[in-house]
Amino acid sequence: MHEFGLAQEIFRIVMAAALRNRATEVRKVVVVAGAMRAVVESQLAFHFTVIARGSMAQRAQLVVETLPARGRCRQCEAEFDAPDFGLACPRCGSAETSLIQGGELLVKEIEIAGS
Amino acid sequence: MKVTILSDILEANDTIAEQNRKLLADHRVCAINLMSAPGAGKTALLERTLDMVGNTYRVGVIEGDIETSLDADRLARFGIPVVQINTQGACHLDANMVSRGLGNLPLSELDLVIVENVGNLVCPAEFEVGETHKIMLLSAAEGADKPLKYPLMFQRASLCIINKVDLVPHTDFDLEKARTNARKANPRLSVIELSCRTGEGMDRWLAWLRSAVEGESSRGG
Repeated sequence: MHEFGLAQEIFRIVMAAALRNRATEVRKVVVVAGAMRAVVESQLAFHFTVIARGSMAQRAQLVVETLPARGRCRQCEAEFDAPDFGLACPRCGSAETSLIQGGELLVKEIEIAGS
Repeated sequence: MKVTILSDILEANDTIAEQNRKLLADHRVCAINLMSAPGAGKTALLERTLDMVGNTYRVGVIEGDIETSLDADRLARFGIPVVQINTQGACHLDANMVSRGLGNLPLSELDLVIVENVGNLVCPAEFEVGETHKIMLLSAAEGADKPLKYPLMFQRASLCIINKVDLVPHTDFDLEKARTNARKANPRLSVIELSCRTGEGMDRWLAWLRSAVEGESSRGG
């Protein structure tokens, strides 16, 4: 359900980039989302379509590339996968860890057609 | 033609959140972003807290709701500055809404601003508003699995309050499991258990809050 707010921001970024590049149509939007963001691609694409109606991005295909969550331990310097988002270090048990991948939320690129 | 963008989707929001953060820091005001599912007891916690804080420090409140001013009305008896923000459909407060709210509060006369977010465990976690601390309120009626289902919320929070502990004997809620799950999502998370109804555990919460407020007011001298 958080996809609507995100789709609004994505639309704003996409349109600004498309206008800067003198596009007449946006054909594809590639979003990068970390797993921690729990972005559902079909939901996001649907909301984007609703928001983009009547604009040059209305037929754009929106795809989401998901990055798995990974953590890094500041005590023992281990890097580890965090598939269930647990961030205690699996090697030494330390709580002094940080998320190094999985929190991303970016518009990576768009494909446009221009005049 | 491909155009590389690499723009953070929440950048516009985060820029305004930074402005809010600076404004609050300039006034040495601590800001708490209070988040929970609907009905977990955010407004009840505010009422209890305001009752007990009295004149110790000066509090202002930003109330976020989709519709109505029912929550702001509940706080009217305290005679403190309260700004009601109706999001008109949006399921969270964003930095821009909070910026407007802060503009309507007498910041130079306050020590603490409590932002009561819209009841929702997902979107509020994504939108920074410029707060000093995010506090996540979980109630014993909700289930111990919530930290695993909504990891971002628990990860971003400094403190998790488990409310309605007086109900625990009447439910299947596993307090130990809730604590473990919350710390699994965020090993540095502080957890305080309390009941707004009975007052149990409120002293620990008020001690936490006092140190958060004093931390801000002593910043930079």
